[in-house]
Amino acid sequence: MNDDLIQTVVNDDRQRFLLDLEFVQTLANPQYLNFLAQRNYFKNPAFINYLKYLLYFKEDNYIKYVHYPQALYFLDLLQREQFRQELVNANYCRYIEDQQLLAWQRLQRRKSQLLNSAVGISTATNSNNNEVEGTNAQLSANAISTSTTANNTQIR
Amino acid sequence: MAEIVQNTNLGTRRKLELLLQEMDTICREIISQLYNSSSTNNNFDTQTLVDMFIERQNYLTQQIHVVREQQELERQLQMKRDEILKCDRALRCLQTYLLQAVQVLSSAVYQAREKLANIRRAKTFPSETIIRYAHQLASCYSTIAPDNWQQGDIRRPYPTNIAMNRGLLGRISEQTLQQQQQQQQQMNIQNSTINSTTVVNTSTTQNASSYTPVTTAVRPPKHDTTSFASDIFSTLNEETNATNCSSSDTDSDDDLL
Repeated sequence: MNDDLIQTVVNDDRQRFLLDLEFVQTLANPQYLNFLAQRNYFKNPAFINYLKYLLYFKEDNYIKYVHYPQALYFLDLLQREQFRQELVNANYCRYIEDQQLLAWQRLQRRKSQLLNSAVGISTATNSNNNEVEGTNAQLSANAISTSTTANNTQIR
Repeated sequence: MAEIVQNTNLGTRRKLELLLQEMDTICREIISQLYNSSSTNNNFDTQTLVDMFIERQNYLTQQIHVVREQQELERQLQMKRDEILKCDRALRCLQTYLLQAVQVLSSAVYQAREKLANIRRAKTFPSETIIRYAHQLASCYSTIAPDNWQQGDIRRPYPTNIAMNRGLLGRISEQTLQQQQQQQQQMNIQNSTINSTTVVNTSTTQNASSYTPVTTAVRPPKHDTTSFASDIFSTLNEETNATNCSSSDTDSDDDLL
């Protein structure tokens, strides 16, 4: 191979890590998974070993670099042969994508409901400004923490 | 008659009825006696009858006093009954509140217990790391949709094609594609000038590492990862699992978004 970029990536640890990170996060994209399945990447044992190797991103040191945690969920699923076989079917990938988007929007609706109920409670009790801000911050922090714990439990 | 009036087993109404019946009979008797003054069998003297009548009248007034007292008692009883009904209703309301509170509290206690168990089990991280990670996830909308998201918005919870093409993988595949195109152009030039079959051999060796594509997809391939993939797989298969990239203390990469 004459590719300079490939050589630099292979020789440099940091670049290799970045490549791994990038690839693992693209696994969150069901269309990309369909693409890989249709080109028989999942039939290559070396590729399957690579997917198994990528599970190291679930450790504490590495998980903090992952921006798309759903990718780790898909990575777990990809370890199973049946899932890899099903991914060839475009309808199945479209179904996965629909469910992903619906869950994404559902969490947003839940967050806005929580924030609205917090605002409602604070106006109903007619507390002073400090208390209102405190309640809002606390409730929004709770909302964020519940969503991240949900992610963490999902990842586990 | 005195026994009847003093009998506590008989109700006031019955006593009044009996008294009125007797008074009625006595009246009829008096009137018949007065009307038939010549009749012979008088069981009772008129005077006696009148005395009896007066006696019964006294009993009647007594009973009417008793009736008045009993009416007053009955009124008070009804008031008490109403109060009891009200208290009963209030108690039932309180009972439902209590049951609801019990349910809410029991679920709250259960969840609190679960949370405490989680906290005990969990690995501790400094809160700043968690907040930073939460902020990171929230800022690229990877788990929660943006507030103003509508149908047709291109943002997604996964990296989109645009992002993927801008990243390292995209650049590598672009470079590979360019090189392939250059080589093809060179081959075409050689074909047109020399017109030999050696070109075909190089093209086949070029594609030896690639997989036989199953072109059921409608879209053209966005990533031609074949060229670098084989390199990476070969290097990975040489090494054993989990090489610690300890140098990677750097922050998140710039290539992604």
